[in-house]
Amino acid sequence: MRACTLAIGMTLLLCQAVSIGSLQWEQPDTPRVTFRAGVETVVVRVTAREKNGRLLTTLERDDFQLLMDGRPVPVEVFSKKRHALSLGIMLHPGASVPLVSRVRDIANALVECLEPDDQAFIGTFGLEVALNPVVTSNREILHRVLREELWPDHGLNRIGNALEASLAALPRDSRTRALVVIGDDSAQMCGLAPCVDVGIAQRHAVEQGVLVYGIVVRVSQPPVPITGYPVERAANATGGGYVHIDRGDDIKAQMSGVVDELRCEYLLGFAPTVADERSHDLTIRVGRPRVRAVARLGDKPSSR
Amino acid sequence: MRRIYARTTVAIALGCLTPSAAEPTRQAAVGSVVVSVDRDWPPNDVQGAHLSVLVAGRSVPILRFTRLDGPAAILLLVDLTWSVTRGSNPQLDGLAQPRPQQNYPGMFPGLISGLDKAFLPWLGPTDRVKVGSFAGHHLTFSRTAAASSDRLAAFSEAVNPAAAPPDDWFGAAPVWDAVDSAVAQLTDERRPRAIVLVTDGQASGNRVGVEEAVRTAIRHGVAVHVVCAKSWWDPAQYQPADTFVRVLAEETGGLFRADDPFHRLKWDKPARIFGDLVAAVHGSAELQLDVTDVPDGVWPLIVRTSVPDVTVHAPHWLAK
Repeated sequence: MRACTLAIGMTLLLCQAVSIGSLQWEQPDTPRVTFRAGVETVVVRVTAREKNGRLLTTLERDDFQLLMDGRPVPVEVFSKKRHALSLGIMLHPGASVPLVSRVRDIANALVECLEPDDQAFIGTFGLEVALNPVVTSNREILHRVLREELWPDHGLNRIGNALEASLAALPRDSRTRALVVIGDDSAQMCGLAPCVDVGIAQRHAVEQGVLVYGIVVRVSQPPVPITGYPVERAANATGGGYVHIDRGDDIKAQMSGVVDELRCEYLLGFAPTVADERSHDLTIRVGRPRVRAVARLGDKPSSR
Repeated sequence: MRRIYARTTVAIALGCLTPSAAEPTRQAAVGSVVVSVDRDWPPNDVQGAHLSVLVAGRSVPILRFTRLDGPAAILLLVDLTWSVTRGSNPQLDGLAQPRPQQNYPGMFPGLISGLDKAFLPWLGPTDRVKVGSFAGHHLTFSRTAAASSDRLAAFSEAVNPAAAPPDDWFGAAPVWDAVDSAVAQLTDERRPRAIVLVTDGQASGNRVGVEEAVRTAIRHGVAVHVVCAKSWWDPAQYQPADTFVRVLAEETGGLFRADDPFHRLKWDKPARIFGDLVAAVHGSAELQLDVTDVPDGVWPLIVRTSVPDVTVHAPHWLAK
């Protein structure tokens, strides 16, 4: 249970950032977690991946190093846990017929990875944004929806509306809440339809503690270069994840990895060195070669 | 064209089973038989002797064949979502440019404005008619209208694009949920009762699946007839959008008709495509079956005819 973070009442000033590289392998433009000090303990949710993308679930307390404004602080709270998931599986089939089939195959594989305590709903978007109202643990129902409710669209992409609508539909409970977006991650294009700014939807995801995970699939060279990558930006902002599925990839294994990554996380807690109610940077490092830690800012760093 | 008109179609719809009051130890299946004929095959020429029924693969005697000559109850159910009202063909999108001083929804009123002219003239003077529409969370049904003037008013009341907010217009198309609700609108009506569904088949956002919608319709003796706008993508590459609405029509004993997406924007007179479906409803008859030897359960139902060139449409399932 996430409640075991011993967390209450922490104020997060800016939820803009993700962290951090390892001691040996750092990202060139490493963003930071920003938090307001004025509490006794701050708890953050973290995942860790090797450079090749493999999820690391065996790290211990001593593998992590926390830096508050560049100065080390001791890790006072540590745990690792597998959470049940509450997923919005959002599909952007686009206008390409082969892409529709590929997106369906990936989504079916993802559904197969869900466990009995997980729950999910299916949504599709393009010009039309259609959310299935059934949130369920029943995989048969989810497969039924994927079989009956996925169609090629008109080539438009209302990703902002899709994120906003699916955020509202995602149940609030103790499960890890995430939106898994499967499609080509093309830029938002609303045509004449009402349009929600992607940045606003992304901010709402962060505020509500919802992870965005992008699964990018392209079956051919798009006629127009894909730009913008709104899902990648949302994934980075929320501490979610982002993977490409290429032709010939083992979809089942990939989806198993996605679900594991969403399910598993470390909780790291520390006592701020000052309590000045000001914003401070927090850097999270992993003391192993070629390992990258990602803070899940979607769930606000919390305190007691 | 001649080949189409020469073809005779018989449609049969069987409803739920009910115990026979006269024979408590026996059970009989009672349902409605919808006969759809062309001018080459007058409805009155169709009799029970022309038909044979198989339930669970066994031949079942027809106890009674009763023509349903009374007024029909018909619910016209219209999918108002963007992909229907604007079209699924990118080329068609180019044709449907916004009109000045018009804001969506209702910006492309082709199907909506033409549908009354295409459908309403086929109705009989005593038929009872409802009109329903759906898009996203929007689902509405008109009051029942019997007189011609009332029908047009009911049509305008229900198929009003302005009633669907833009988010719904650009939202889900819960076809199966709408059919499920439409069946409930008809359960108090006399037989024959039918839904005429206008959609492109791109169903989404449904609480129930197509199988459940089929079961509900069959249980209440409602045939679902479908006018489906064709998809533009190649069926050889991808499951066409009409796959599931075709199942809905065929398994409930309704007729399926596909319309060209260009044509649907040009309805300005009675459309034969609707005439066929309304004729099927008007040609209804009810079969009473002896199912004493049929075990309890839900069984495949097949109705055949000995008349050459006649196609029989019946629900695919019978519950005992």
